[in-house]
Amino acid sequence: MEINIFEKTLRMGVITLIGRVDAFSVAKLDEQFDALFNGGFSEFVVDLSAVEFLDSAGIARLVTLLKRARLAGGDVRLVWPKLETAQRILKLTKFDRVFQMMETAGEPIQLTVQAQ
Amino acid sequence: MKRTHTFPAHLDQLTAISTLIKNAALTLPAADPDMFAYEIELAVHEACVNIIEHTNSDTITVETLTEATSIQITLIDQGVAFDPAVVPVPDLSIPQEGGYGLFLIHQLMDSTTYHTRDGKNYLILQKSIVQELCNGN
Repeated sequence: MEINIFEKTLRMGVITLIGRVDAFSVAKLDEQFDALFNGGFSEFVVDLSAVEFLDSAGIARLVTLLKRARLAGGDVRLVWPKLETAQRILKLTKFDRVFQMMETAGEPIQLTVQAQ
Repeated sequence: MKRTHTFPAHLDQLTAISTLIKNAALTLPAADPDMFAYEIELAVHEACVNIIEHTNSDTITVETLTEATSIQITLIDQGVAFDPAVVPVPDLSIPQEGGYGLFLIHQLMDSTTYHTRDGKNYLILQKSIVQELCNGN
């Protein structure tokens, strides 16, 4: 059990997105997601804290990641954007209820340590 | 003040359109200027993505009309017309990989109207700082 949790922690991919996450830029994410899944990752933290603008194409990619992760037995957590403006779309679409939201990307490791 | 700009209908123009809209919206004395401008920027952005991805129009013309307490943005394209009424409202209890654009536009703006005339499609978006105050936002 400890080994599994340890493995899970090691296999937790933290994806940090910075700046504009929109229909023009999201194509870059697909390759990154493929590489992470091919590398055996199924648990992800997507750190949106430095995101300045997030559109519906951006949140659609988060859903794609969530579905792929859950099919692989994992999950996706999101770190809130620091800017209240960039948080707006997550609240309007109620994505903050679909995903587990965190204040910082450091929380999953702290949670795992407490679970041990 | 009314201003008109025409952009190629390409995704690489979205940042330029956003900057134009944000700067226009920030001229209004909203209670929360950054949020007011961001909501309009996001709504116009979503509308432009729809035009670029679904109408095959070569260009998007952006007209901004700023008044003392409101802003109106008209997006004009020459592509395939669509009926916003037939676009389904997303079920927010089930995360989807698309279909949020029009929903967001309606949520973010006070009014949205669409019509086609002489081969051109007009999407008119309006938002008022008075409405913003009434909503308590």
